[in-house]
Amino acid sequence: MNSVPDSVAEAAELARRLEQSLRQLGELGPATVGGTPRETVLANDKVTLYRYGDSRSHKAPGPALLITYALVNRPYVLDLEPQRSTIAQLLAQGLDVYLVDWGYPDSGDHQTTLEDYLCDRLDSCVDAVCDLRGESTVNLLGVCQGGTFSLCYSALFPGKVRNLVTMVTPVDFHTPGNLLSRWVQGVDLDRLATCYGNVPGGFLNALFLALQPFRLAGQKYMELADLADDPDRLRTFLRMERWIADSPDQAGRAFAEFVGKLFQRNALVRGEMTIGTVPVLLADVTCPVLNIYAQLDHLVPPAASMALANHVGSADYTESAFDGGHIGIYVSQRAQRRIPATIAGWLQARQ
Amino acid sequence: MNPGDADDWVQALTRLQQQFATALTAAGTPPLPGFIGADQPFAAPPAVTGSLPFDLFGAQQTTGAVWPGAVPAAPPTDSAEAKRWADALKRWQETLTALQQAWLEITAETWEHLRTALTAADAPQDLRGVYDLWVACAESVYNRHALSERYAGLVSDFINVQVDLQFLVGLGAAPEADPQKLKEELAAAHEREAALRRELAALRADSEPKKKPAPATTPHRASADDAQPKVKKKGSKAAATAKTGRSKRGKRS
Repeated sequence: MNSVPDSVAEAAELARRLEQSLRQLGELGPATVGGTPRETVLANDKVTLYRYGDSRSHKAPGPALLITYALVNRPYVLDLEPQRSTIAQLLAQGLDVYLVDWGYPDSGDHQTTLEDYLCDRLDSCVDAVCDLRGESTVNLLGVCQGGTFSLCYSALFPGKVRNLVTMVTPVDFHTPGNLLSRWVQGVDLDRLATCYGNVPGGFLNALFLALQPFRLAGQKYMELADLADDPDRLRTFLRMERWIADSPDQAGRAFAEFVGKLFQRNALVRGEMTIGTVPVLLADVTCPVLNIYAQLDHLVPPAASMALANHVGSADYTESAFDGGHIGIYVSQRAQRRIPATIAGWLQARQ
Repeated sequence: MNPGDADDWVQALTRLQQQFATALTAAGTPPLPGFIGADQPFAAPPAVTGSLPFDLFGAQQTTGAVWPGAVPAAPPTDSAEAKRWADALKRWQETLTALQQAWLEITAETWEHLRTALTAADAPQDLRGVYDLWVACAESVYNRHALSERYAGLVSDFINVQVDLQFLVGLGAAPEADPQKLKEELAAAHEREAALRRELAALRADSEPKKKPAPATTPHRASADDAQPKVKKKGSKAAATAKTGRSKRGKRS
């Protein structure tokens, strides 16, 4: 260990740099996100379907890719800023990119079910993309919880999904090391949902923070000291903070269904999943599947995603491991270089 | 350290935290849960109107939203209700105490791990390196505890008892089970809107020259078997509509 005077000097310098970063953060102004041109294809009271790109890219569109993101955070992390935009990279790969934005549930969503999300809202988006392109099927990219939704949708509507890409998608919710699953085993979900109507997004954020409290509530902010005098990285930091804190409330009944069936009972891999009254079997997912997981994922352990291989009905199943974490797979420079190219290459080979 | 710098580290950290919160607010970013009040861990024992240390499950103070962690401020006055309240509060305190106990164990174990790690030949010499090593040790110890049945049970209990307390003071009253009438009216309105849009589209089609459809890239046509959805959507949604008044709705723009 360094001498006391050296350590004191280091601490003072660290504090100085932190102050400097914080002052610069305050001078940056609002953390704007997105930026890739897009147009609204479909909008109703809750869900919005966007098509990305401009009129030039729409003149000769490549294969369509409909992205389904999770309910628990906002999908703009896929288009955070020009240098960190999975969507922009997918466009650059020649894909015709669409995104489902689930919006923010309100008091009218207390009784919204998973069936509503899948068989009504997501299905409307699939139909809209099909209509727009004059095709009968879509390529789906499901991200995180959106991947689980996409799997269920593909099992329910096999004739509508041409190819399925799942990214950091939980399939087996009872793998060792799944903290969230362990913690919610004893939660009375019906009472929770009844009490709050919609489960507060901040509650979920607190749980996510509690997965790695020392890292996420401490060390991450200490690293701000390294960003002093680097406005680009400070701006990225601010955008990420905005995204992390921007957690929509969860429609109460759908939340209780999702957590109860999957986190508590692991229904998907047990073959006991239902949407409405209809059974959902992974064996019914017969389209080509590309399953991308993150090796350092603290939210969806790799084994939770890789379990898909043992249950999916597809004869054309491909796995791809990304050397990074759950957030890094959306925004890291390495992911930007690799993931969109992997998806595009895989899709192009199956058109 | 410069003479002007604060020698009270709590005060210094609090000042940094306030600066950070101000910066985030200026940027339109709501502070994260756990950030507000993080300067006062374990500062106040849980009381009838208390809030949690570290506020991990606490009220979202910026928006005023009620969280499972926020202890309701006003206990009921009715005696039977008050007893239920007291029982629930006791359970809340017991669960919180057990969680705090677990955190003390985690903290103590972390220091042991850190002390061992610092004796390694490649141990960091600078403060920042030691801090990072402490975080790594803490996360490792914490993860092991957090995965245990005991800790997981405490988290579940803690959430459940928060909900009990909310119910007891009448917060989070059960929503209307199924606002059938409203849903039916909404469904009818959407149907009317869809019909009008169809009519508008037909009128436009009549008055404009026909456009070529958007080019498709090698459209894949599903086989006859595939074309049959597992969910008989029209039928099922019709049934669902009859039951709940929901219908597939949306407008193309």
